Amino acid sequence: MSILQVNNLKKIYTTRFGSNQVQALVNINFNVEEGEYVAIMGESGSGKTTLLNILAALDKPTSGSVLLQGKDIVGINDKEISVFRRENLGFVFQDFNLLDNFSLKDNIFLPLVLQNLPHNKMEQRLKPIVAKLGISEILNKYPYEVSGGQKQRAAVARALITGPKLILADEPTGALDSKAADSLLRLFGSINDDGQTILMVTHSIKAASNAKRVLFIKDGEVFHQIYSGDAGKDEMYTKISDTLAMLQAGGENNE
Amino acid sequence: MNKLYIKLMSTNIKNGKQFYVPFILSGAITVMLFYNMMAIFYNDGLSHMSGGNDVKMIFGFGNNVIIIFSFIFIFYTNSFIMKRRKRDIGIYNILGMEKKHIAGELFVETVVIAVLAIAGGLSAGIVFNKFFMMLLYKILAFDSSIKFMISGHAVYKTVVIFAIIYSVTMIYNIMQVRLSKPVELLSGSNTGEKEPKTKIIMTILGLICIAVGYFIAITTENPISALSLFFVAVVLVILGTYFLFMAGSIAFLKLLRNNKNYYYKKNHFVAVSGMLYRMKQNSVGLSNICILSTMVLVMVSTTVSMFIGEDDILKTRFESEINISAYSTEITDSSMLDETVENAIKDSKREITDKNSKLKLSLQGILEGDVFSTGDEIKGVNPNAIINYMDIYSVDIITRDYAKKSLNMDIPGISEGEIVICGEPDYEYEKFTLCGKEYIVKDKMPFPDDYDSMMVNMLKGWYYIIVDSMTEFKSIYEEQNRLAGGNGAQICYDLSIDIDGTREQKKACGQVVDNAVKNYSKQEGSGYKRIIGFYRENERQDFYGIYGGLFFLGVFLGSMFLMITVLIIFYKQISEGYEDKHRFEIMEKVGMSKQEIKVSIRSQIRTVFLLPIIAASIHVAVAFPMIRRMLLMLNMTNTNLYIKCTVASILIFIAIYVIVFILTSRTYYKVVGSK
Repeated sequence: MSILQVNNLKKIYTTRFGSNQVQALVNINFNVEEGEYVAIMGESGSGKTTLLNILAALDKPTSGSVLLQGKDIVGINDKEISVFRRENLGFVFQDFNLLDNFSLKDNIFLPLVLQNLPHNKMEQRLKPIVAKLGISEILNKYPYEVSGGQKQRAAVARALITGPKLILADEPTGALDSKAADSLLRLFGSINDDGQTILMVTHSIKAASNAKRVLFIKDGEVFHQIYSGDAGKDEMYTKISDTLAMLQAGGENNE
Repeated sequence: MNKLYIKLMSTNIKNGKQFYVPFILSGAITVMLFYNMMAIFYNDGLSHMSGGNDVKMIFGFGNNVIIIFSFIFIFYTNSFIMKRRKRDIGIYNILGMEKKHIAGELFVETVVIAVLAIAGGLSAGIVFNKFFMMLLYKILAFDSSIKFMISGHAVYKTVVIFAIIYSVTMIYNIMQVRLSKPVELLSGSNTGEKEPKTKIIMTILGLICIAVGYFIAITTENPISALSLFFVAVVLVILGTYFLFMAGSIAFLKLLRNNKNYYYKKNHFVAVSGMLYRMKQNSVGLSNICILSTMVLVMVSTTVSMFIGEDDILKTRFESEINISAYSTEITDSSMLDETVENAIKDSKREITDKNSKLKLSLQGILEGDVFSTGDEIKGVNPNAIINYMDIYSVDIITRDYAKKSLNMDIPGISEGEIVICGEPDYEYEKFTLCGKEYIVKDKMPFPDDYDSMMVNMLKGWYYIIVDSMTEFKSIYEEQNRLAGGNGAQICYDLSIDIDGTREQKKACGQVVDNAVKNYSKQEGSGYKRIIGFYRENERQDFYGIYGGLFFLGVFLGSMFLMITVLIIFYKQISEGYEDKHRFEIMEKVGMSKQEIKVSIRSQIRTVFLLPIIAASIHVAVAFPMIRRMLLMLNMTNTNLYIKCTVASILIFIAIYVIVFILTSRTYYKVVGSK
């Protein structure tokens, strides 16, 4: 069964006086199966961020539906939406979004505290996750005391600790150096191997080549998709760059 | 280049007008208040009024207070604006402006701000001067027309002092730019996000300061020592407030944080860490608010209560309309003096409504066990003896007849060698040794209920010693005089008379009586060494001078402090807003609903801003006994009135505070909500 179904998603931004309309998403359709690792690629302005915001329930589409395990998240009202978000979704952002006034540990605990979990249960859940992410030693440090890669690992831990159905990652390697980026991508791969569904939006071919499927968005529509299948990372990398080159060429031949 | 400075400066001020307008405006108001205080201080007309010089003295003191606070205040708001500006300056620097150009721009900016504030404040001050003078004259009950005038002296002093204050802020700003690197300037408004350290020593020091300050305030009984210890207590409490806000709050919050089961709860988690962060950023600002609030409350409540209670004070100080004390070295027939006074009253067509007189011998000295020695006696034995003024007792010897007549105490016969003691504190012993003679204390009693005098409050104790006969009275007088080597206390005849009529009539009568008494005391054979007269209505004007002047000053400074408080709250709210904006966004992404965040932030902000006013109220409450004792020295015995004034001041202040808080909260939410 598909964990996420996106059907006929449209988003039109209207300027304040209603004179200019910009169609960010024209007609988006795709499904994500449980345990999948999907990357979404596209140029700036292709509608990636809009799509992610809608999937994250931070924004509402003009029309269309988003079903998470069969439940339409577009229709959820404002009161329930944040509860829904913290119980079902995990987020990893480009700029980490850790709170400076919390230690890494408290940052990771934040969603659990919001769920009113007892403290000893929190500790139980924390241990395996931080061990896997290799940040057990720095839990009591503050975000400004650790490197970008470590911050991003803490952010991943924060996303994982609630056991979300889906992890949404927005350019997770965008602010990291290549070494830290590689190690984070390996981590994503290994988390995915454990059965975690991941949806990642990215610019980076390298990041996308780690995914099992890559969706390409152009002008607000899903333009193309590639499955990695049995292909290795290098092969995937070539496939993606070829597709991007084709997209950049204008794609007139394909229309 | 100059054109560029001006252009930069004007865009700058335009873009940051939400910061600059209050800064310039509050500067102008401070200038206006200062000019007016100065103008009153230099006003010639006031010197010619009775009580006018007291007002001037009070205002001279007030001016110094205003200078100090203007400086702190302008400096504080300036540093707030500088913090916001650091980023711009960093960008200028990176884009290729040299530091000297930035300094030039800051110079032009400060000059413009200073000129606007000083010129604006002075013009407003000159325009409103007549209004302030009218207000002052009304309060002082001066009956005189006020001319519109500009005081050159005051203008000069105002310009000089505020030019200095603004120059200092400019030098500070330029130093900041000189000493820092562009990268630091770029992140200048984001510094200070590190985890605050727990300062145990500072916390303990703060607790000790507050505890000692409070202890002094509560336990100091003697009004004279209250006066000198008051400043010690104030300084301790101010220090303690700063320490506790800076270190104590953080220590307390960390304690909460270390309690895992408390901390990891939805409501506590965000609040405790948020507060920790806020307290670090705001502790100085909050202690400033707390101390200013305390000052406003104390000043307004005391001056208002003294002003309202002025009539009571006058009555306490002068028990009757006409109070005459005539001193002699032997028992003298007072009928001639009585007659002189009564005739003078009759001449001014007034009726006597009440008349009271007593003969007393007033001795001051120390009481060791049950032995009383007069100061003169001690000095007679040992001229170098030091008597601590805090140990002084006053003992008034009167006869049974006068006790009945003037104190309304009916005391049955007292035999030879016996006395009755009446007074405070309760006398402990069964015997009383006076001038070497031992008396048996036949009875002890407190003062009659309505007996309410300032004297009790200024002394360690005050007793009436009631003896049976004039003979005994006379022998005590002679003995104490002999022990003091002929320079002892004199016998005092107290004559108190109340009369009818209006204030003006009473005043005129007082003048007539005063002249008659003065003439009488000059006559040969009056029998009196000196005669002193106090006439309540004739003293009233001087009282207005002092209490009205203090009242005016209290309200004046109170409103200035209030304005400063309001501005600090305003700036705090805005800076909080900018700092919270980012946190707000992250929390939302992680899964807190807008409503939850809003509730949490609102409660944190409310706590942060209520903290100083609550602390201020506690300070005022604790200061209450001490201030009451000091007020007693100023003859303000109406404690109920003082309580009412204090409570009213606190309530009004809280109301203003809350209104300001709500209004500025809107600015805060605007800042936080803006994308």
